[in-house]
Amino acid sequence: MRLESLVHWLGAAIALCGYLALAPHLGGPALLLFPLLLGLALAAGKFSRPAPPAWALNLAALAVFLVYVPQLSRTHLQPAADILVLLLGLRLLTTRSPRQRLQIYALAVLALAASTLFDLSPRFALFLVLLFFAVALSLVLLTVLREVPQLRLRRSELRALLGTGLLMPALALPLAALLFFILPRTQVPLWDVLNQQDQAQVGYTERVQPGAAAAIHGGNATALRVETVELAPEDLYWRGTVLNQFDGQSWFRQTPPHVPAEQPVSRTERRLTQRVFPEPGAHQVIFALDAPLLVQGVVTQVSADRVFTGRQRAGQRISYEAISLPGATLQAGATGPNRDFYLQLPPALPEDLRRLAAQIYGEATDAEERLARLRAFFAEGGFRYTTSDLPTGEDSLRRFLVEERSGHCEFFASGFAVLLRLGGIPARLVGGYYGGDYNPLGGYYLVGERRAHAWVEVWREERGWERIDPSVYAINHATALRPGATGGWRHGLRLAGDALEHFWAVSLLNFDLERQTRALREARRVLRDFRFERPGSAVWALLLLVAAGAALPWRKRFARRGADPYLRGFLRLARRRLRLRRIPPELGLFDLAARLDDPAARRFAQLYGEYLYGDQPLDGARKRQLRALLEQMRTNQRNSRR
Amino acid sequence: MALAEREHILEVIDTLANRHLQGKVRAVRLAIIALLSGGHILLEDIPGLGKTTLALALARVLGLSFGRIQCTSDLLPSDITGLSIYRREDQRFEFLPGPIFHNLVLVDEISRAMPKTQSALLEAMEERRVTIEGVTHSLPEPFLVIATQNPVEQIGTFALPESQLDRFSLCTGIGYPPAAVEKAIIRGGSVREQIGQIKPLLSQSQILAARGALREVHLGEKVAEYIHALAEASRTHPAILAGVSTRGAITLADTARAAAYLEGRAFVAPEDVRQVAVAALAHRLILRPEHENRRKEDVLRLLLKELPVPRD
Repeated sequence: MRLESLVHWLGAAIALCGYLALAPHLGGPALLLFPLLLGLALAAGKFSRPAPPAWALNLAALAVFLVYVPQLSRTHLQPAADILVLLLGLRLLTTRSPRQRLQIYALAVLALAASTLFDLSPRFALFLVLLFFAVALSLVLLTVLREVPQLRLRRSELRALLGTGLLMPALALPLAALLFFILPRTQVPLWDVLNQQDQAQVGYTERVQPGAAAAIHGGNATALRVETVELAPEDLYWRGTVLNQFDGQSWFRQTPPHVPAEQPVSRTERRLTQRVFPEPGAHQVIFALDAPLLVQGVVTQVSADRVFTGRQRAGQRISYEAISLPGATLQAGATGPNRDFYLQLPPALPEDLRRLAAQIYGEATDAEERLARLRAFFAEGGFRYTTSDLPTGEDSLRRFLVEERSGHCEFFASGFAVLLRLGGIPARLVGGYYGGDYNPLGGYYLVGERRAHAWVEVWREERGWERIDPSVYAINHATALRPGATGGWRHGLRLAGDALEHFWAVSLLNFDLERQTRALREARRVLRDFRFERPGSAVWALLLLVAAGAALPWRKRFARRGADPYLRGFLRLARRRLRLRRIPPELGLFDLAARLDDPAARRFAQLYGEYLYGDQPLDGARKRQLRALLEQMRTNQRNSRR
Repeated sequence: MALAEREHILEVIDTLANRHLQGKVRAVRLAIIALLSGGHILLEDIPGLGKTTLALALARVLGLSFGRIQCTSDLLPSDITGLSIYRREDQRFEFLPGPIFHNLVLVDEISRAMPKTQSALLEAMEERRVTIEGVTHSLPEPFLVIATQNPVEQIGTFALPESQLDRFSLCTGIGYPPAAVEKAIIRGGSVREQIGQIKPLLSQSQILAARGALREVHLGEKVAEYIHALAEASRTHPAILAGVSTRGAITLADTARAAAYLEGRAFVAPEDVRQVAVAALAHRLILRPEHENRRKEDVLRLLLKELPVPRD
């Protein structure tokens, strides 16, 4: 193979890596033009067409600048990415001096770096590793090419050259790993920090407003990942905020009267610890499994109705640990909650709703009786859960309850809570998430934004605030709220991909300054005390990497020595049968075979000698024979012992 | 690759060593190796151990023409090479070839010859031709000299200088035969008469074919390294004043090829080198004066023992 074409292909692969890293953030023309340019370059290389004249390419580059630079602004960085990729593509077309190849490598690395402006995903690591090895290898090959431009390599030579070329970056890996622990990093794409823009909020909101839209579209965005054990579906309520005021259109939150503070009390005393990794977002609510007892690992404020809020900078990646008592109720001291506050209703409530309440409750005066009747009304009322064709407008709640009886969780929760309040029972809405896909690979729940949910907490005298999810009374509840288990390889692949992303976020993006210093302290402590007292996993990883890097040069020697496991097998057998502690260095193969007095051993010495001293190739057939002979020797030895 | 004529050669060794020259396997084998590798052999041992018998038997069984030179102090070069005499009836000089113009020449007690005669002989061995009165006569092919030397006798001898010893590719003793064999020999008497009746087992062309096959025996990088390491070790050993020359190393390689051929291998293994190393190298060593009472063979065996065999 010609070395030049190898370098040529590598260069194309490097450029492709740079392009693919940036591809999700490119504008249409650049996205389409680059593959075209790459194809042209490859075709030109294959048919050895002359490169287009330099002035044409320079003109094209100028045109790219002229088109894209005016579009650039502080908030719109995409044209820069387009420029980068198009320059890379044009560069591929030029005549290939080493200098121009270096420019291609540099542009590709720049493209990869630029991709971090837009997102920080594991894809970056993939392309980083690919580029790391490919560029290092190309640089080695390029120096060789400079010396001997017309070099042709045989397969074995090529293998040796590739081995050396790849060994260098492999040796540099431990150092790179060290940099990982030292260098500062960003947890969110750089551009987001520079240019914080309001993203359209989908899913969870801090306001429950039934009737605001005719349909809701669940996105695929991730809201939370929660590392915990697998739970029963009825426990999977991720409690966020409490909405306690209703203005006729929407539920919103007012700071609750401070006393008395509510405490979760559970009969089972079952405690559940979760580690929650929310995706960076604008809201400050800290989610935890209902009912949350404690949140650790992040600075939080907890209100009287156990809503946790974190003082996180917007867009920062955090993680925290929450301890919950599943199935617990919130008890509000001896005096109970402020009834007036939790019975508030707007004066302009449609008359139909009051009539409906009177109709449901009838002559029942006891709160428990009324609650039971309300539940029966929802259970028997033929309500449907749907996310489209929703009632909208000012009297949407009335239409939901009286006429259409189909809506989503906000309708169910709002209607249920309003009717409770109309019946004189304190009630409030809780916003959060319900359910989640358990990822057995990563041991965590993936909670998507489409799982945003609202439910009701009702005050019961004997027990405290109890969770009631009116959505379960929908007749199609089982299919609408709990998506059936999705199987198949695609699902498995998605789970694996998400587990990787989770690992990436947890171990790499979240590895902030605090953890860096902690790792350094750990390392120092470990080195000082040298007692294996569970040092941080990061330290172990570092030590392991350094050791692996140090072992690499040895590996090659081992590999060379290990090329003949047959010889080692033979020597081991000989040593055992001749009862030698070690084989004397002056004894050769044939000497040993003669001493062993075993035809198989003689045959082995002959065959192996042909390879070793006769310079015959050690091909597959010979290897098979050698293996068979060793086996024969073992059998002979066993037989002779008997 | 077929090793031409190997079966026949082995048969020769077998016949000689087991029937006629009992207890002399090693010497017979080395003589054959010398013949195949195109060298000469010096048998160095006390008289009466069968050096001459060996040479005679070898000549018979190989079917070669045999010449014998009994060296004395008055032996002249022309007694070896031959001379031109004037034929009066034809009025011209006629060349009478000396005993050296045979395939196998036994030079008995070479150290008794004068240095001048010795060098004439050694020159012929090296050059494989003899020049007399301006006319060059080639020696026959194959051509093997078996010289004998008495190591203990000092009076009236001219010990071969080291530079001349170098011309012999192999140098070996014969040693006393094993007790049982010796007793049988004592009972049965000398085997000289039997030897006269030995039938040739090989033809001249077969020997030449075997020598051709020898050139095909592969000597790989590793074995070449091993040979070089051995030569190098002999040059740096504290007991040795002058180690093995390059010619010595070449000879070692050539004779190791022959040894590999006899083993039935198409390539040289370190074992082949070790088999011939003492015979091929020991006589080339010059020991330091303070170590002169040591046997060169022992020093070389020590070198071999210390040198690891290339196994990987």
